[in-house]
Amino acid sequence: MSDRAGILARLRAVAVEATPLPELAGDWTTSTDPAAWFGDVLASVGGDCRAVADHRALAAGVEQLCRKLAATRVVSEVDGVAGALGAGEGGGSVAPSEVQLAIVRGEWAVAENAAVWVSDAMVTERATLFLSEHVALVVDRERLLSNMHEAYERIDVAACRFGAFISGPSKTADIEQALVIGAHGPRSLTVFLVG
Amino acid sequence: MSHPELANRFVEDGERAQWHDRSLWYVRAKRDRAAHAIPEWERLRELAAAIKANVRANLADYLERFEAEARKHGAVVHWAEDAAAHNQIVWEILRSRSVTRVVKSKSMLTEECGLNPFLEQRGLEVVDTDLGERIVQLRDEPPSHIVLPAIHLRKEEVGELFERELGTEPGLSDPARLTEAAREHLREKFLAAQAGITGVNFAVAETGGIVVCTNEGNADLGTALPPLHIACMGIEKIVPRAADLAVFTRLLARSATGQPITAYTSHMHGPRAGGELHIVIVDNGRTGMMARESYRQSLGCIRCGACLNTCPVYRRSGGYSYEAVIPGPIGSTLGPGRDPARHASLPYACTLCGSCADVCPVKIDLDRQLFHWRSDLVTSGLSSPRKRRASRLASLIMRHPRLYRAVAKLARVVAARAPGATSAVLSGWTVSRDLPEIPQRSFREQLEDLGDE
Repeated sequence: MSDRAGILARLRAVAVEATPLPELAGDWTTSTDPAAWFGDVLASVGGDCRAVADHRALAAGVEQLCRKLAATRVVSEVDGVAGALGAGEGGGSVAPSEVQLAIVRGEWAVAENAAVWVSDAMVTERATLFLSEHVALVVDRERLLSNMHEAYERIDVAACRFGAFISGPSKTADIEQALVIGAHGPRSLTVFLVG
Repeated sequence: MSHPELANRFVEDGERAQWHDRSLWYVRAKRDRAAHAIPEWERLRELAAAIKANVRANLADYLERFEAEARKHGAVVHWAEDAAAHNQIVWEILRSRSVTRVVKSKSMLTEECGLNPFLEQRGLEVVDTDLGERIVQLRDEPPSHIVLPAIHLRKEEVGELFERELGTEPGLSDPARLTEAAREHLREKFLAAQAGITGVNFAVAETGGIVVCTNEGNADLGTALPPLHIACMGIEKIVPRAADLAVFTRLLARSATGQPITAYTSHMHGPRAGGELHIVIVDNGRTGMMARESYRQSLGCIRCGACLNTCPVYRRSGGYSYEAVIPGPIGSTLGPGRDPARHASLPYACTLCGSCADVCPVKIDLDRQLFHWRSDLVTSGLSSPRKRRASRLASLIMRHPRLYRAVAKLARVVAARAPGATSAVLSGWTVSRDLPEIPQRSFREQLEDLGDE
C-alpha cells in the first residue's frame, strides 16, 4: 500500500463523531473610524500610516519619504508615482537586493491588525517586497476594512500564486524578547491611505 | 532522564530560572492584553475548536480535496508515512536537482523528523533562517520553545556565539546590533540558496493553498529567491475553507506573542513563475493519535506556544527538561502519544491547574489529557514504581474507612511526637515547602465533641 493510501485508510478506519462546519458570519467588531484604528495599530507594530487626500498628495508624500530615508534607488509599481520621481519602472532597472525603497499597491487594508493584502499582481518580482530596505504600500481608503472576516470575504486568495497580509516591517524578538525592527526584510513600512 | 531530574538541573541556577520564568510571563501578559482587546475572543476560540473538530471527522476527504486543488495550481504533492519517508522524499527532490545549499524557515515538523541532520549527513548545507532557530542551530542545540526557540539564552551568550561563529566584535550584547549581524550573515545565505524549505501553518482544502506565518519575513525570502520550494506539513494542518483563515489568523499571533497578526501571513497557490513547489504531507504517528479518542483533540494544535508561556512548570523548568521536540503542556500529551515509555514522566510535569486549556486558542482539553495519561501510564505499568506503590497504598487506605481512621490517627500521634517523621515520608514534597501543622484531633473527633455539647 502506498503511503498515501495507508494514511487515508487509517483515517477512514477511525469513527470520529461528525460535527458540522460552523457558520462564520457574526457580529464582528467594526469601527466607525477604521482609518484611525488602522493608524493606531500600524504604529503599535512599528509601521507608519500617512493619510493623503489624492494622487497628487500621494506623490508629494512619497517624495518626502524618499528624502527622509535618503533613498535614491527607488522602485515604484504604483501608477503616477514612479514618473514623478523618475525612478526605475516596473522594478526592472534595479536588482531587488539593491532597492532602498519599494512602493507597491496594496489591494485591501484591515484595521484590526494593520494588515495590508498585497499579491503577485501588484509586484513584478515578489522578492522586492522582502529584500528592499524600506517598503511603502499604497491603499485606497475605500478599501479599508475593519476585520479579517471582511477581508477573506472579499479576497479570492486562490486567484494569485502569491498573496500576503503584511502588517508592519520585518521584526524579531528572538534575543531576550527585545523587539528589533528589520530582521531580514524591510526596516520600515509606510502605508499611504489615499482618499 | 525524567522531567524532575532535568528540571532539577535547570533550577540549580536560581537566578536564571527566575529570569526564564519572568521572560515567559511577560509574553503571557502580552497575550492577555491582545486577547482582551477583542470582545469576540471566546467566540473565536469556540469557532476554531468547532472547525478543528469538523476537520478531524473529515480529514481524509479534506486531504484528498487539498491534494487535487494544489495539483491544479501546479504543486507536486507527496505523502509520507513517517519521518524516514519524509526525509527520503525531501532528499530525493534536492538530490535530483543537485541542490547543496538550502535555507529553511521554522518548521516544528522538520524538527520532529530530524531533517537537518539527515540532509547534513548527505553533504548539504542547511541554514535555519529564523533568528532564534539560527542561534540554537549554531549552538548545536534544539529549540527550547516552539515559537521562541532561544528563549533560554541571555544576550551575552548570543554575543559570545556570534563572536565565535560570525566574527562580531567581542563583548557585543546589544540585541539590535546582534540582529543586524545575523541579518547580514543570513542575507548572503538567502541569496546563495538553491532551495527553500518551509513548514505550513494552514493548508486550505477548498483552494489547495498553503499559508505560512512569520515575523521576520524569512519564509518569504526563502521561497521568493530560490526556484525550488519544499513545504512540509502534518496531516492536521488542514482548514476546510479560506474563510476559516480569518478565525485562525486572528487567534494565532495574539495567542503566541500578543501581536494582532504576524508581520507576514503569506498565501501560496502553486509555485512562483518558473519555479517548483513540492508539498510533503506527513503522518508520522498522527493517524495513531486520531485513533485514541482521549487524545484526539491535541491534533487541533496550531503551535502558538500559549500553553508553554502560561504553564507554571514549563516556565520554571525550561524547555530542555522535557527532552521532547515539543515541550510544555501540549508536548506532554504529544510525547507519550508517540512513545509512552520514553516520555512517561511528562504527564506528571503538570499541576493540573488548567491554565493551558484556558489560554489554548483551539480549546484543547490539555489538563484533562494529562490527567488521563497518568491513569493510562499506571494501567500499562509505565509510571514510576514509587508512584505506583504510593497510589496502590492510598487506594487501599481510601477504600477502607476504619483503616483510614487508624492510619490518620497514627499520623497525628507520630506528627505530635516526632515532627520530622512525616516530612521524611514525603521527602520529595517537602524539599522546598513545609507541611502545614497537623491538628491533634481529627475533623470527625471534633464533630463528635460538638454533638455532645
